[in-house]
Amino acid sequence: MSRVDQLTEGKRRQVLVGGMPMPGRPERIGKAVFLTIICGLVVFPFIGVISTSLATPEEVIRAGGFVMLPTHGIDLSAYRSILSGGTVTQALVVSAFITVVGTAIALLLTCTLGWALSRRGTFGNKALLLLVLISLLFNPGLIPSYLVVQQFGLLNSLWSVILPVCVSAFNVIVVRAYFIGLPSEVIDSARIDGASEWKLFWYIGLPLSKAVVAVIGLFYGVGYWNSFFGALLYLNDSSKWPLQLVLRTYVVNGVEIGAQDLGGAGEALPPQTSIQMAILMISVVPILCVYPFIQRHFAKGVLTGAVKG
Amino acid sequence: MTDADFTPSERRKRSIATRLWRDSPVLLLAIPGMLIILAFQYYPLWGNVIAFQDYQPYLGINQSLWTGFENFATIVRGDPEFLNAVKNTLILTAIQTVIVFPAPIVVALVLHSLLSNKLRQFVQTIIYVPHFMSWVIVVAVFQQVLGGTGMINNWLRGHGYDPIHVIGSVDAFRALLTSQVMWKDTGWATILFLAVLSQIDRSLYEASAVDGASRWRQTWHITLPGLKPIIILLLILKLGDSLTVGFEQIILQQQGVGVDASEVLDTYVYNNGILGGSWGVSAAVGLVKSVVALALVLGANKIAHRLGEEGVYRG
Amino acid sequence: MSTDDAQLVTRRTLLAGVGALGLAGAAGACSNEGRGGTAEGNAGASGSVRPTYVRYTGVKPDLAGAEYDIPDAFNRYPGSPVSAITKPPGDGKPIEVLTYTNTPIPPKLEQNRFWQEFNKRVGSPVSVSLTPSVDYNKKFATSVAGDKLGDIFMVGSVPQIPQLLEAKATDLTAHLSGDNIRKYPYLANLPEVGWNSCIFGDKIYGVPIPRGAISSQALYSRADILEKQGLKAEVKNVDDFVELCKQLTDKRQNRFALATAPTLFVRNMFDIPNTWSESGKSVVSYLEHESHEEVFEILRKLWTSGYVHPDAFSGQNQDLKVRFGNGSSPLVVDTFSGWPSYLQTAVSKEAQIAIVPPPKHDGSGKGRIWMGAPAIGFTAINKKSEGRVEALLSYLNFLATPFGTQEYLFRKFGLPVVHHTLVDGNPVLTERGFSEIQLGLMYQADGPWTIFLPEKEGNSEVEFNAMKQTCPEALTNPVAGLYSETNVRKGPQLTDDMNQVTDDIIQGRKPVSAWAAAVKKWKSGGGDQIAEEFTKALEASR
Repeated sequence: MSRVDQLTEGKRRQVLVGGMPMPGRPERIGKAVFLTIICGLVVFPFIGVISTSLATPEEVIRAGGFVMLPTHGIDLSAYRSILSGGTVTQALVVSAFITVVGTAIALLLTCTLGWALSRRGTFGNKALLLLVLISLLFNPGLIPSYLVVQQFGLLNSLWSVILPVCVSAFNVIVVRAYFIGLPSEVIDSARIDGASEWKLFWYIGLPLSKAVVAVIGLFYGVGYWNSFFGALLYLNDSSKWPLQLVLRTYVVNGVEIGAQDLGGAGEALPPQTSIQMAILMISVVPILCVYPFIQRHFAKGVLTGAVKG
Repeated sequence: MTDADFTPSERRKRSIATRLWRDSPVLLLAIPGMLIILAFQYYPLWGNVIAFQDYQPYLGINQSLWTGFENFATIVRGDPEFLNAVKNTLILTAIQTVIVFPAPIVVALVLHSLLSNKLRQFVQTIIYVPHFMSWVIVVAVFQQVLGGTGMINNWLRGHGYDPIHVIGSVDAFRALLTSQVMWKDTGWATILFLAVLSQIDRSLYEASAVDGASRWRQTWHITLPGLKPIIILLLILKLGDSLTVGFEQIILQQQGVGVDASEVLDTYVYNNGILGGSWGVSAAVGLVKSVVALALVLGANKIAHRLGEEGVYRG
Repeated sequence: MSTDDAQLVTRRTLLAGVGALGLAGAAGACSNEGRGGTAEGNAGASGSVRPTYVRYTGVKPDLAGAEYDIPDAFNRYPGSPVSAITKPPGDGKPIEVLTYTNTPIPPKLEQNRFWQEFNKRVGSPVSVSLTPSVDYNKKFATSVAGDKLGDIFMVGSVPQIPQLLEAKATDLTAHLSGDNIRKYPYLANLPEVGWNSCIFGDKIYGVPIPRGAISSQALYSRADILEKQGLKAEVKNVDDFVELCKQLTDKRQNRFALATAPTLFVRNMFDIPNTWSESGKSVVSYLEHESHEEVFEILRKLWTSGYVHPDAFSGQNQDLKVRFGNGSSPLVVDTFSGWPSYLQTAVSKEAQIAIVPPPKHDGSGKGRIWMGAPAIGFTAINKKSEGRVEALLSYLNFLATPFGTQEYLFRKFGLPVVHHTLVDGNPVLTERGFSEIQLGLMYQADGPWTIFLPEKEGNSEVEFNAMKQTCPEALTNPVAGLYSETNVRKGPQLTDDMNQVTDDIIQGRKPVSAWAAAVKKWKSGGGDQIAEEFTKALEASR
């Protein structure tokens, strides 16, 4: 949404777009080149990833494991070998559940804690903050974490994958910093009007922080979507495994396999790189689909609203 | 009754009680999040006591032998390889801070200054994709392009030129590592900066434009200051992470360039302690790294205060 | 005084020092009273305890490997497989297994026809906790710490294995030693030397997963590519070999003779012993062999001449198969058990594999390859499940039924029509079959390896003959399966260090003279201690 104003005050005539003067030609060209390069650097290999996942096994092997553009036709065998048997589709459902529930819980707990910590001067504020900060830097270690999860009775339950990581100290600190930066007039005036702390948080703080909350939500969401190690340790029942862990079993890193494992005659498994790329595609595509909805929240031109007047 | 009617300690107790009561809504909000942190971060921390043991899983903590500081000594045998690992770690950390950290800021600024929303969203969606590739794939992709029989070299050889030696070259290794990290994570890191930039009050720009400010002045006086707090915050937090420089990324490529060029603290510890199932050594190293990281973060925070910045927290 | 007692004393002294600094806090809590595992000796397998070997003769192989100590080979799956088990081994109660996998996980029980049928045939519901093999050690450690080992578990690579087994695993000696094993005929069919790795201090603690000759590494070559250039898959001495590599390299075509540095092959040409060798009463590491400098000179020459693929040190393991398959590297050193994977990645119909046996470096005869490890691991039975040990052993016995039996056919290929179809009389897994059978069975117990390569006509015979040619004289590792505590704790690092030095020397980052210094460091860093422990274990096993 651009708004064009013209200055006539004897200063340089400027065209304003969105509040900023129009960029000059060299600047625009420079940016165009820069952006094209970085996009190209990313797109180029990514096309290769897509192609490798779709190329025929022979072409992939002939090309040394990586195909830029499939010239011998499309072959879905990599995807078929992953998606047949229903284990991956089931894992997709499990991951979706973990991601949605986990992100919701994580956002709630992180934002409430971040808000509480942003109210400087309250009792115990600094102590709690230090506790959070220190937890960021100190790691419990594999076996103690396992024993604690076991002690809480969470083994073999999906909650063992959701709860231990639903509050990230890093995210708490970022959110807190943002809440501190919110204009205090609005909050103070609402407080004087008798609003409870929860109301301040929920009806004023959060709406003013859409962008950061969206980003933190994205971080948590992606974290849950990609998680596998917790599941590896805590979930014995492989029908409860999330997506990434199931996909991990499709990539065999150079261990010997007998003929019987490969399925015998005529059932050639697609080459490893094809499978790796197909796995990547399956993991990334859902995120690519969801991301635009989150991106809206930090598009330029979002009105910062209530501060005026 | 006034304050003077109480003894100092009674006064303190009463004021603690008052403050607790007054602040209880805020504290209530903090409880759920703190519970999780206490339960899953602090409670298992006692397990770090195995740093002082020869911990064996089948014995458990109660039965494993105490070894005092032996595990710590294993790490710092004083041999040249350890010092080399430290050197590599510090150099890579420096490169990360100077080159890798600012890159997403630059990209975010460029994107932020774009006129077209659509273009910005489009570019941003593309460049974060490599973040989702595991290091195994990233290394494989780089090899397919830059490797001895990668696309570039195959073309060169096929046309009679000498191949370029990137993968497996000791001299190019740091540049290779840095470019891999930048390729993988720059796009993702711009998201946070873009989000912060998008929240900068539009009217500030308009007001300054009325005063005749050029784009550069606007960037310098409005945009950058808007980013300053988050940049400093991230920088300080990153220091807490600085001793952990790309373990998986390096381990995958160590064989091609040798230990001297590639060993960092994490790989050194892995190669010299963890491989044999030494949980105690692993915990000891974790403890040392955490203590150093804490010192770095607190120190950096103080420096930020000296420079007039908020930092992670105010004193 | 055993080594463990000596260590306890040192630790107490250390603690005393710490206490003096006032750091020990509750001194009582910090003492080592009543801690640590029992000071179990690291004694290895004792001959008297080892199970008797009773070879199964119910199935007649097309090519019998017994006399050469190599696997049997089959061109075709036996038409009417014999039934090996008469009644279901299970006792009706659930069997829980913990092991690793190299294949995708199976569909859950409710949707898995194979699993349901499997439970029926076993006579007990079986549930498996699977882990990708690369992550297994971590899973194993947490399972031990949290005491969640199930009824049967694959033993991971951790320190203090004998103590761990004594604390957590059932002693199987009474059930399996000597002739007792005849009760489980298919366990008795497992090769003798594989049992070494399961025997500690005169007690049998597990059932091995057998390998042996099939894990030996040899030089694969693309016979078709060699033939096209008029070369033979045979070299007489070092110069011959280098010449072969030269002929097969064509940089303009991006072809490099060797997919990786052929370190082992060159070592084979100098008769360097298989990891350890006996010298008088003690064992000596192969690292100390005097020919190593010469070996390195040859390897460096291969590297600098460009006969080795330039990405040999930077790629993934699967790249070997790809390079071999697309012809960009017609020579590769790999295990015999990898043969099927190489067939799978073959893109041209004429691709043929031929093994190049190593010659003696000076042309004076045949070189000797290294015999593969007799077992790749073993499974143990949880001490808590001691009451059911017979049923559990019967279950493992069921899983060890050999090639050619009904049970094997079911275990590996599932039910006819549903899971596999018959092509030329050979079972071929359907997509559904491939996904449903992956219960990690082959890493719980398995029959001895069999060469069966129906993908390509005649390949079973080719592999069999290649093994017949190279394996009978293969060098064996005298301490295979024996246990050394230092080897588990420090071995991986020491080996890794030596591998780094090897890579550095071959690629020219270090001079050949760096080898001697590295070996010295290896010895003082733990190598000598490992040698000592192995020597003791070897004596005890005799």
